[in-house]
Amino acid sequence: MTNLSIKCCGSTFVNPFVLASGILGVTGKSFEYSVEKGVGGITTKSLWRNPHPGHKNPTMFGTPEYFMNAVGLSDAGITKAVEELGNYLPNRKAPLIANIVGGKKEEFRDIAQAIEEMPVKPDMLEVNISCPNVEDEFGKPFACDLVSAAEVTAIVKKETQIPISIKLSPNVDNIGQIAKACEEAGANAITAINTVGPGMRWNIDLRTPILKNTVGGISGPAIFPIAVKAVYDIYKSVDIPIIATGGVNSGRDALEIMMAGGTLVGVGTAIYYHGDDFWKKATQEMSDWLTEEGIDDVSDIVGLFHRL
Amino acid sequence: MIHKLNTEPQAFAIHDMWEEAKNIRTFSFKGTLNAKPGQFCMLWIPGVDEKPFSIARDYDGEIWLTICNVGPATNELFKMKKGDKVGLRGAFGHGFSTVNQKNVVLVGGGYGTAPLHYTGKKHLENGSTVTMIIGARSADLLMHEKWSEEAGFQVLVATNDGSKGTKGFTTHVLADLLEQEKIDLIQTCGPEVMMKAIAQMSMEKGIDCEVSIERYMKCGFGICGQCVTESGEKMCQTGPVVTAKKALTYPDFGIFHRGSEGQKKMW
Repeated sequence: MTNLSIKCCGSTFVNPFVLASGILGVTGKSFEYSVEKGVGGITTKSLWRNPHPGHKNPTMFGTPEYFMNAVGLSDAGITKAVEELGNYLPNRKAPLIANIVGGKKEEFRDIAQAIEEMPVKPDMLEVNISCPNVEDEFGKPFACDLVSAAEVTAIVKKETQIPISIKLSPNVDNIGQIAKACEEAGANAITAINTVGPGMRWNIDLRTPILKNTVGGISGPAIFPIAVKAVYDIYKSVDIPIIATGGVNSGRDALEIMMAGGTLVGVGTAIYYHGDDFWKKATQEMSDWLTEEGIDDVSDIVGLFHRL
Repeated sequence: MIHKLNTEPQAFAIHDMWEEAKNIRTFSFKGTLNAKPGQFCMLWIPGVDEKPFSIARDYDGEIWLTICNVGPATNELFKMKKGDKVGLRGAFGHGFSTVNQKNVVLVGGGYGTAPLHYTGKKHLENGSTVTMIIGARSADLLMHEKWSEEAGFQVLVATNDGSKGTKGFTTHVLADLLEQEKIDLIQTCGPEVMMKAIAQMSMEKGIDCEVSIERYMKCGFGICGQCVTESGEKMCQTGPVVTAKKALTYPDFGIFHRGSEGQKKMW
């Protein structure tokens, strides 16, 4: 019997799959729902310091090849989030990764402080510096600049004992170096990748951009090769674990991106293609393959491509 | 799990429109969404917003959406003219069951009546007898009354102010009906407090009952998680129609819902 459980930053996940940020993670009960469906861990949607309305609809749509979204990170603010997380955390059956976001660097500090004060804390913080909709004063996500990425990492690290993972953008030409800068600034893990783009699609009959925000991040099967390359590059640059995310759509995809360097595998858009049964199907597929290959422990495949 | 893998909105021109009641208008479109009764679609007013609406009709090449003007998005929709184009996607969600039942009662409260005519029509086709109870605050807000009579339903009306039909609530009319007849299935859509009362009445009498639960929706197809009840179930997929038995296990049913940022709002 192959062991699918895996450790990351001091927490044990019953399988390597984690629900990626922004999908289904609205309430404590919805976390429990996904855990019942077989996911190994949960990432919350991005939490803001203050209530954040997000964009009007349409905020997302899918095609057989890819999915686009510009939800605009809607959230009721950290006070409400602490309440929701407080309902879930004490009796949680799977680790919880709290994803935090800010428009300014100080906002990350304030949210980290608020979470640090919780009686039962999340297992990890994921620091979202790579949403295409959130930009610093130079008009780029913090994750697109090596110095900014390291600064935000250091700010959050200073406020909390909880292990932190920095979520990086694929829309750079030096993701390995940025990951390295985050590691040096105190990051305990790297999450890669956020959505690709932004991209743009129009409805020609209506002469209108489909997304209300005009542009949006691209996810789904089409970005999987970009994610594998990013994870591969990051693994070469750092010694900390990687939460490999981006276009994973099957158990075999998950195995591939783990061999490229992922310890955990973030999955979001696959729910669009496969529904909530994805977790059980993909876990089974992973388990069957490992058994057939005579591999006893899923941890053994992490970074395998680098040892060939 | 079967998904339509393409969820890009498709353009539809407004074929016709007419007033159903005060502030309530039906928009018709040529074509089909292959909707079953009780399912919903997303209607996109280009450049403005996109909102979920129940489907009043989807047969014989026509889609009807009966819509109440309640906010900024519908306000823009109500300014549109015949021939103007909107986007539609769907149909989404789990609808009302329409397998043969002897005696079916449909209860609509306010503009929640919208999906019930289509539901009743399917019941008639399947050989059931259909009674439809329509409730509203006053006579000028009643909708689908004549259309439903013409279709062959027995229609009973309740208004809060007594301006038409029984003075009071749909639940009063239903209670009377339950005394007089053997009812096999109750299906309801309307204010959640009304639906909860009906769900409880049906459970006490041991009658099958389905309710249509509305929660704030963004995507409509199971990704955003905005429309979960406190059971963690997505009302865009598990619902909007669920059994009364199931609804009564939701801690929020008839009590609260959540807004666009996930904040709690009391009904």
